[in-house]
Amino acid sequence: MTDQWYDVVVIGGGVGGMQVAIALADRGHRVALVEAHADLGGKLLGYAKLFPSFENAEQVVDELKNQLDSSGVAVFTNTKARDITENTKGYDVMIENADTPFHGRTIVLAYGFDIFDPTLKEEYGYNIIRGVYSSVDFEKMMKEKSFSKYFGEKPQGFGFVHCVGSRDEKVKNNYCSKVCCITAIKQAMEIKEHYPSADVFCFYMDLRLHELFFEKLYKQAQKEYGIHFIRGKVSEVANSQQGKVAFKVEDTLLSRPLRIELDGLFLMVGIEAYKGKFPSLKLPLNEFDFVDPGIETLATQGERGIFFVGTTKGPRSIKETLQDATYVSMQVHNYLLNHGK
Amino acid sequence: MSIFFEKYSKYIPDDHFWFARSCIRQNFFPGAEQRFLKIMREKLKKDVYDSPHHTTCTGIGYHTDIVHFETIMTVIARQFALMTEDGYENIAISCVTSFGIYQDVLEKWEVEPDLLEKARRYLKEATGREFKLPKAAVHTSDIIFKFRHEIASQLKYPLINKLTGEPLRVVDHVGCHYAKMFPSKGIGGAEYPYVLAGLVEAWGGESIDYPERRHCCGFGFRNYIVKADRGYSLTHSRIKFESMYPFKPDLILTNCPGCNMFMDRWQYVIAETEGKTYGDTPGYGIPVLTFEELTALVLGYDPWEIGLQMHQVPVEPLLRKMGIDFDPAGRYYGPDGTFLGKPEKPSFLKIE
Amino acid sequence: MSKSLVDELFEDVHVRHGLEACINCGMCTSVCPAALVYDYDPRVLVNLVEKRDEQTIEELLKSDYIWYCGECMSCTTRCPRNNSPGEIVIALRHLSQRKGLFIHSARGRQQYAVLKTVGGSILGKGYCVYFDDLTLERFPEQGPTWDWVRKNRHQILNKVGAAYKEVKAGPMRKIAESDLAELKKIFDVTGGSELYEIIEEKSREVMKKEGKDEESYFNEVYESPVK
Repeated sequence: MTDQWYDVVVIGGGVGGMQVAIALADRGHRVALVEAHADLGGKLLGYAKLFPSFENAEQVVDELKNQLDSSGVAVFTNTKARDITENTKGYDVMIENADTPFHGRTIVLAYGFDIFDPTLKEEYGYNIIRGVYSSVDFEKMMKEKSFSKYFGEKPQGFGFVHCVGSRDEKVKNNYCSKVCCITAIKQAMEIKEHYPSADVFCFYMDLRLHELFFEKLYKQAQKEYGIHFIRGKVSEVANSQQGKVAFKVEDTLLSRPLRIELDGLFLMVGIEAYKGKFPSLKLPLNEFDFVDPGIETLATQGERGIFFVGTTKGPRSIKETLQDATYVSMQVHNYLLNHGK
Repeated sequence: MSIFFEKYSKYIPDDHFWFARSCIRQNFFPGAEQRFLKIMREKLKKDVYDSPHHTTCTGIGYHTDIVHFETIMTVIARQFALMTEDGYENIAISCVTSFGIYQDVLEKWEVEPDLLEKARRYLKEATGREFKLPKAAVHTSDIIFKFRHEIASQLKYPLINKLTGEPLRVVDHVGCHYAKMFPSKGIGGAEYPYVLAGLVEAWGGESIDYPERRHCCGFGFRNYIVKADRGYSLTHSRIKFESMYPFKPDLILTNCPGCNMFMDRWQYVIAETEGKTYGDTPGYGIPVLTFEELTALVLGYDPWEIGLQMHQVPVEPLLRKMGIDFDPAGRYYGPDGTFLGKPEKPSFLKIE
Repeated sequence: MSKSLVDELFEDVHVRHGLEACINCGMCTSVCPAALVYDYDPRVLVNLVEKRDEQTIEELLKSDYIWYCGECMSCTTRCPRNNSPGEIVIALRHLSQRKGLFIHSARGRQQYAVLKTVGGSILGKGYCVYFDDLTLERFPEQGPTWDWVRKNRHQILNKVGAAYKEVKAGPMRKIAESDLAELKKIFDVTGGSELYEIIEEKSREVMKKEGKDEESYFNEVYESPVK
């Protein structure tokens, strides 16, 4: 299993890790992929459908797994990297509950991201107020088809709260998580399909829809699905005596403070830097604990033979992570060639 | 609901406090301040010094904008000087507006040391006094919170409804200036403050959440002081009453004296103008108590020495629920037994 | 050359501490008590200040708009940019009074009533409010029980342990002349007395211009409802 030398050890079996492993194996390198959990797929395993096409997340994962199977990558699940140290020819990757490390001439870190913990936004009462859930909970409900278990057959309305844990100095996350606005629109459409007579609201500060076809989805949500878009950040949440979610928000376009009661509120939780660390590895991190983009220039990336993929560097969509993984694989390949392979 | 308690546990000293009185509490609930001192000294055996030389912090003047920052910070500096000269390093603040101002001044001094130097110069020039910064500036409700378990061990009347055997349903209202400006300076933070809920839970009661719990009582400073604007103040208390009413509270508990006064008096005004009351018996209001008054009640002090006869909404329904042994007629008599007559009965709000 | 209003405003400690930059999320307005009952929006106020436009600021200082806020600071708790509209209001109100612009608005003129009541009580008694001044005439909402307390004040206050008008420690004590003198000196040295004088002087200008005596002017600004 271990004590073998690989050209590349990829830490993390999410979409980024899988893609970079596949690309490098295709170029003839010896690649090991280590994944802490029992299954490959990372955060994608929690999603039902993906924006903007509504394709199944499962399909994306399966496609990558198939390619992985035929690529010759040595895959190790239930294998958690706990530290990484340098040696004369490359790196040792220490594994939890295992004696022998992996050896790699290069390391690709694809450990992904953490989801913002919504309990930190105390005013939303996550885990305290009945009817308050996160966007992650939403995906679970979609996969399990369990909405009626939480909301019954005839809920009156739902709200999606944008920017929970993002663009917020109170929780020290003064950045945009990029993918939540389009996710909220997707989820709003999904729940409207499930409960056509319910009123569905998106409470946003700005709508950041960065990809080509996102704007069309927004219009579709407004025109065909009747989703209401209110420009205002939800502040205080409580339960009414009937158990509904009662909250306050300003419709900033009308300069009007509103008090609304709905059956459910979904918090669009942001992307945060992964908090697990490799104690011996000094990573160049920026103020938000993401890996510093400064190392992404061709000149500096991989000077030490360490490379970073996807959301280790900041919020990204799945599409962007896959593109990034391909790009990084090229850099790893060049590094290996230049360093006497 | 102590979810955020550990995250927001601030330092509260154990003993040796210099007491800073509250304008509103002194004038509307003087018994409450005296009970606090009595409980601290007699029940908890603590040293609390009551200086005759301190003045108002001018907080209401500051928030009605006739006193500006440089003046108020120097008045605060004088209080600190008196505290230093009296040999204390902990200040126990009775008023919540005042508490907010102490935190605000201390924070601005910390971020701008030049301001602190200016305060020292001003104070020296005006009074010749010098001061040290306090080690702790806490609200008196923080102190009672800290010793809530000690008080629980001396309880005479727990917060149980003797008529039903159920815990009393207590709505708390924490003053805005307690935690909204500096959540880390409030026990439990700003969203789920625990300073009053902790007392309720320690003494056997049930703390009730309701949608407008965090809404301001409506003091609004100038919006009350100026008679013309007083509708603002009434409106916001009313919003709170309408929101808490379906949850059937037995008691409203406050730590800010202004909030206590408003929530007591506005119930009377709503009863007289709309014929509407919020207590569980028609025509009765919900008793509103300051935390010192409640602490004194559970420890067995006489309601009329605490000063509960000064409240407009009668407290007798609560006293009976708690099974407190009291003389119903006692409220009409002076300390020497003189009969004081009875207050005029409002047309709608029932009083005893 | 005198400073512009914009410069003076932005030098105020409250603006230094309370104004970062607004992203118009509306969290402040959604919980603001004043926004609920008046045609007022703290977010809009902050936006107007951020324009850093001399004419806009001057208009604000002369308008009712800056006088709706109740300074509860509910707006401060959750602002994702660490702004405090309430603090900015304090700065605006201070500047409006210092420059004598408060007399141009009906609500601004009410500051005269505040000065005479709270202001007088602070320097005259050492309290922001004092028992003797809390009459049913001025405060009818205090109710009949309060009236009864006032009628039986010595007995009742004695019973609860107050030190009403006594020169010793205790609630409602008479604050000693020497302490009041120090308080006055603090006001003199820090510009607090000057602020009082400006409010008084400017209000008198209005009284003179409109031919009103002090009592009727006080009653007008104290009691007349403003839209």
